[in-house]
Formats: sequence, C-alpha cells, structure tokens
Amino acid sequence: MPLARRLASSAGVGFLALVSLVACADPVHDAAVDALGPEAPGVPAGPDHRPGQPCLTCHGGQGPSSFEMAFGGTVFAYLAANQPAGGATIHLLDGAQHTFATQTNCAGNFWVPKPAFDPTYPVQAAVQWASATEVMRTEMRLNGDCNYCHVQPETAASPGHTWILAPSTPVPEVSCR
Amino acid sequence: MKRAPFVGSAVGHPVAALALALALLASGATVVACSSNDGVGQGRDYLGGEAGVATCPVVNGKCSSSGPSYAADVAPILAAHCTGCHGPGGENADVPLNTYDAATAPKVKIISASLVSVCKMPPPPLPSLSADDIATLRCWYAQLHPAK
Amino acid sequence: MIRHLFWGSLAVVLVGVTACSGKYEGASVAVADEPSLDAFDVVAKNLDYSCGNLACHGAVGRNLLLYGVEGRRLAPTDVACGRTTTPDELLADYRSVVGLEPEIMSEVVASGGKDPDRLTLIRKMNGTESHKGGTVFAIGSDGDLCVRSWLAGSDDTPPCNNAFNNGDPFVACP
Repeated sequence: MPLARRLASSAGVGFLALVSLVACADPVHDAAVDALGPEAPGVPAGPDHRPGQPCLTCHGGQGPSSFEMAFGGTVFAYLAANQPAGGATIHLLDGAQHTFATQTNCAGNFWVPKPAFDPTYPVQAAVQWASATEVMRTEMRLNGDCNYCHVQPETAASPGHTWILAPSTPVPEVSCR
Repeated sequence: MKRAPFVGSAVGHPVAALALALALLASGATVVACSSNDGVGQGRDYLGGEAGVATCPVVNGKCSSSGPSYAADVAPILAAHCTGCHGPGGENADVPLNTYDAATAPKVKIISASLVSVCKMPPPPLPSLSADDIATLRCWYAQLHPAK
Repeated sequence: MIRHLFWGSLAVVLVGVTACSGKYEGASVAVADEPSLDAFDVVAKNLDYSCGNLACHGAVGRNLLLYGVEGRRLAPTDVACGRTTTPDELLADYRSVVGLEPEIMSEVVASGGKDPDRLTLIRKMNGTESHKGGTVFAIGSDGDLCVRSWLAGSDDTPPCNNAFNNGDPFVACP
C-alpha cells in the first residue's frame, strides 16, 4: 500500500481512538468522585448515604449518578458533632422570588430533584428544626451543592458543616423518615 | 493492485487493526462508565417539597378599639415565627422577643412593626407572616401601652 | 533527508532550551493611577458578599481571589463567617482587584472612571461578558454604581451601602 494511504488509515484509527477516549473524560470531575471514597459499611447507595459529602459531585448532572439534583446537602444538630438533624425544614428563595421547602431525612440528608425546582440564582436558604431557626448568612450563587462549601471542621475556607442548634440547646423530638 | 476501501485497508494492516480494536474497546468502556445508573430512581424515597412564590401580604385593615392582647394574640405569633432566632440560644438572642418586657422594649417597638409590615422579618427565605398576623402585630404595637 | 531532519530538530531543541533558560528577574508592574484604598472598604463589602463566597471567588484557583468574612479568610486561624473582615483581607482584596488588569485599571482611574467597561471586572459583574456567576451587579444597580463611583474617585457611599444585602444588615455575616 502506498505510504500516503498507510499514514491516512493509521491517522484515521488514531483519531477514532483519541475521540473515544476524550469524549467522556473529565479528569477533574473523576478525581472529585474518586476522592469521596467508598460507601460507608452498612449504608448502601441511597437516600441515607454519605451524609456531609458534596451531593452534586455525583448528582449534579455530570454523573456517575443519573439522578440529578438542583440542591442537596446535610443538616447536623450541632457544629461540633455529627448527630443528624432529621425532620428539619429547609426553606429556599431564589432570585425570581420563587420559594421551595423540603425536609431532611433521618440521616440529615435533603435533596431537591432538578425538575422540581430549577432556581434563578442567587438563592437564599434557611433551616428550621422545631423552634430553632438558622438563616444562611450568605447567598448561593453558583449551584445548590451545600456540602461543597459546608465542610467539617470550620476553617478559614469553610464555615463547618450545616448545623442548627446552639451548643446548649437540647435536641428536639421531631419525626423523620 | 486492487484498491481496498479505507476501513478494509485499516483492518488489513495488522498494527492498524490492533489499534482499531483497542479504540473500540476503550470507547465501549468509556461509554459504560459515563452512563452508569446507580439504581436510585428519580423521586425514590423523595421526601417531597413545596414550591411557591414569595409575596408580602398587603394589610389595610383598621385596628379594633380593644386591641390584641400579648398573651392571647401576640405571644403565639412571636413564638411561632420569631423566638427561634430572637430567643434563648437563637442567633439573635441579643434582641429577644420571648417575653412581654423584651417585646415592648422601646427600640424593639419601633423597629419590629415596620420590619414585619414589609416582610423584612422574618428574613427571607423564611416564610413571611400571614396578613392576619401582620395586622395583629401592627395593631398591638400601635397601642400606647400594649395590653398584656 | 534524515540528516537534515536531525540537524533541524537539534536546532529547534537548542533554541527552545535557550528561550526557556535563564533566571527571570521579575518586574512589578507600577500602576501609575490607583483607585482609592481608603474608599475601598464599602466596595469590598459588596464584592465580598456577592462575589467572594466559597463557591465562587473565595475558591482557590479562581482569578480574582477574594478574602473576607463572607468567604475565605486570609489568616488560617480565622473561620468563615467569624470575625469581621480584617484590614489585611481588605488589602488583599484591593490587590486582587487592581492587580487583575493593572494597566487598564490605571487608564480607567486616570480618565476619572470613564469607560470602565474596559475592565473585565466590570463586564463580568454586569453580565455583558460570559461569567459563570452570571450578572452580579446589573448595569445601573446600586452595586454597579458602587464600583463605578469608586473607580471614578467618588466617595459616594449610599449606592454601596444600599447594595449590600439590599441594605438589610440583619442576616449577613458580622
């Protein structure tokens, strides 16, 4: 076969290989997913899994989960402990004055599926748990991945995980699912 | 020499054939990795949620001559909507609203009614008070000596 | 042919190595006309609140990295939404803003704030240039007037104070 044809066919094959490898590759996102680690023992993938981890890393539309969320996060009872605040209500208000309210489950996790509320940013948020109330001091401007910023412990780069009770306040009796 | 078609010539060459096979294998594996479904169906165990539109009620009603009482009318409203922040352990415990004396402090009286009327308090995104609740608080604060 | 290729490649490599070698002495850019640092605090308050949150310009890796109470802290011992924005954080924010396009900033300030759209900061915050955070301060809004008046050398603070959380101080970080 003439040299030109051999080069052309090899280049075509190489191009196919390159396109297929690059098409679904996002090393930054893949690294973020890998950094979450495996599921906790005894807690399968589902509504109760991975409290405190950034939900939209997997549920933000880039995969690996096909269940896409507009908002997701976890509410804990106290800043300094990992006790979940089950049955807490999350209030959201977007830039177009649309509101949305949802609740945490017994693991403290909450989520809003994308079709249910596709907000206009910025979005304000507040949490209520029985008589306790906390209003978010800043606004969400990029996405609804609460646990992306709310990382435990509190540092110069994080206000700590989302909490609702002052240290001396007893945990209320609130039912959750 | 018979001219082979493009694909045929690639397959005919052993190195190119191996590269094509590897490319197909990689693309197949990549497609599977990108479209993984972890089995959590949309809405499964979804706790539900409510959507709405934020509006501030327009309150035009006149206050009655007898006026609301703190114990029967005002305290329940403050307890339901305000003392979570403006009470013991709340983030605004420095401006308490959980007792009669606290709710009738001069600074609180001046500020509270106006903020509630324009739905600045409770602060968004917390739900604003109903028209009836706003009217109750306005009328109570309007009294010179708010009835206990 | 192969010999030509070899010597040609060697020449390219040598030129490349030479171009990349040597110690860069560095040079700081002198901004001839700077916007006011004294008047920057109310501007910074708006930028910190609207731009400096931890998902946006309080995140490492972003250009225009901002520090302050509303987002990332400069001192590792401080916590987000802890004590008020420190003077060091204000200065760091000032340097971030001015240092983004120092030459253009100098021209805008020298012209009395004329045509500030020359600055990427203005175009991005107005939403007239593609911006992941969308329109932050629409043209003519209090936040927009705040930044523009600062660039013009004015100490007109009402727009800045009005812009900050819609003038409502009750909810923001201290």
